[in-house]
Amino acid sequence: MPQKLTKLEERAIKLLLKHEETGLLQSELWHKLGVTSREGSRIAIKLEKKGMIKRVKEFAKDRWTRRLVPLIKQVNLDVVRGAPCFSCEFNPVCGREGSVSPNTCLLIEDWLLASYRAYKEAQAKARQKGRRKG
Amino acid sequence: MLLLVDNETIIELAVLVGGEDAGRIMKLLLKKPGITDEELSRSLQIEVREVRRILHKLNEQGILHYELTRDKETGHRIFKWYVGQEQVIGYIITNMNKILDRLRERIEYERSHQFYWCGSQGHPKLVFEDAVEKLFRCPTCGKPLQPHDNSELIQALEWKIEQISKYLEQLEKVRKVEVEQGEARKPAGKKG
Repeated sequence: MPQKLTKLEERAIKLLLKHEETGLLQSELWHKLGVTSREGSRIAIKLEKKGMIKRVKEFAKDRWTRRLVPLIKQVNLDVVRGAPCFSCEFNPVCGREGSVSPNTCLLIEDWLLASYRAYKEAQAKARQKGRRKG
Repeated sequence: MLLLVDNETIIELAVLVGGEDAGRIMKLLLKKPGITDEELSRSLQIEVREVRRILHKLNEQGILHYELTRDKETGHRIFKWYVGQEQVIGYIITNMNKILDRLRERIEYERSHQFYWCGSQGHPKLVFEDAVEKLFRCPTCGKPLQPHDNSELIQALEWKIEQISKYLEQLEKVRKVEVEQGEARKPAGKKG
């Protein structure tokens, strides 16, 4: 993390990043962190001051509360996981202007087909589950 | 908005670029920023030459940087190694863009050619002109070449191109906000 965070602040951010789009109600976060609301509010204010979250007023569960929305995005390798390019010796010279062409690369082809088939399989399983529930 | 990368991703990247030992080195470096190559070698029981080779490889890729000092007594150079969050994020985004370009090039190629293949895994698929030249025999095993349907590969390419493009767009949006926020802060800082 670029800014110094306490262990609890770091845990809070990690939890919030799991709900990147919608954020979490502060009470939900305190519950997950196992801290009191007083302690939790302090953490939220600190994180807001550090520019890592925004606290949005919201009426929920019959009272006014705050929704904590992360202002950070985690960079990960999910969409390129398994790609052969990172460890390929031709990485610096492969591409349109390079001396090596990806058009005949069997490693790229194997990676794409394997990940596409795994994705299709997961989709089919999810559909089957959905049908069973329905 | 801020872009962040966690330690697990940095270690995963090190393994991809430099192998398992690079992952071990990165793990320790994240724990002890400023550690020297000799300390790394001692702690991990990896030969110092190998440690240096890996560190320089990661440095060449722009994932690590070092600070050079000199031992006051012996005059030997001492390299202190660091991992930069921003450097790592930059490396990941640059390489994702490179992979995306390669996939776009590949899909054009796959869409505009007819392929011939012997059906054996790992053997090349030849375009019509090359297949004619080889008299429709596989250059690896000699089996006859048959027309090959590449529609699944095209679908896989379309899917992956969309996935990577969308992700890069999201990161780019956050990056823009980050830059704008940085610039907005600058004049205020000067005034203060």
